[in-house]
Amino acid sequence: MLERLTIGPASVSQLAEPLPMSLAAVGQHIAVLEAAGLVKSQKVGRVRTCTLDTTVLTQAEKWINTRRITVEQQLDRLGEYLAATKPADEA
Amino acid sequence: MPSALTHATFCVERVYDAPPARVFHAFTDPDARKRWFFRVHDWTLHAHSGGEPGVGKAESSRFSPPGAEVIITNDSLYLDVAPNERVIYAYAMTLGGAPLSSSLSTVEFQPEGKGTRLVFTEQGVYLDGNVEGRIEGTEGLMVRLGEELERG
Repeated sequence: MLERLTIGPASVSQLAEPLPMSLAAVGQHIAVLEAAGLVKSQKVGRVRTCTLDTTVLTQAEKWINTRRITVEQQLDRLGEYLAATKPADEA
Repeated sequence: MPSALTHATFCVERVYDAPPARVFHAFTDPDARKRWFFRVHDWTLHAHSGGEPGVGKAESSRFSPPGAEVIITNDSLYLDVAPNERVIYAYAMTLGGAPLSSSLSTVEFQPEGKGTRLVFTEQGVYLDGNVEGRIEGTEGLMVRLGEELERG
């Protein structure tokens, strides 16, 4: 569903179409995604249209990248330390 | 989106030209860690305690970024220690007294030729509602860490 929404907004029935699920089950999935802040939806008349809410994903990506960079740099620093303390008898 | 919880997992690998025993020692020995992990140019390390590797052993540190008063804390606890093979530890960070993240880190030391492949996997939950400010702070740290590395 999230993959489909990266292409653009879609109605609940459009999201349900390729899935072996009832419309009600798809609605429940969307409710979970909305609660997680990943999807926003708006009901106009009888049609509920869903869009991807990129705020949380972007924050998560940034955070993960920052943590990864921290670890990368720390492990580089460990490499420098290992090189500086290399014993003469180590092959 | 204040106090959003974000779960994440990432993995970093490095190959070092040193046998697993020496990489393990450098990674876990408190004195060695002070040289490559904690000593950061311009950062203030207010307090540091513990850090001996052993199941149930803890390490605590309190520090501030350059030119800032805000206190960051890091409390970690060893959950599993297999000498020269792996360590698993949990750690929590706070920023200005507010919880920031809780993580599980697994570090494996695998022999590779005469050297060691270090595989670092972190699984975490990040609680910060103000991720932007935190990221800027960490980027500052990275720049200074790079400078420190150049200095040797």
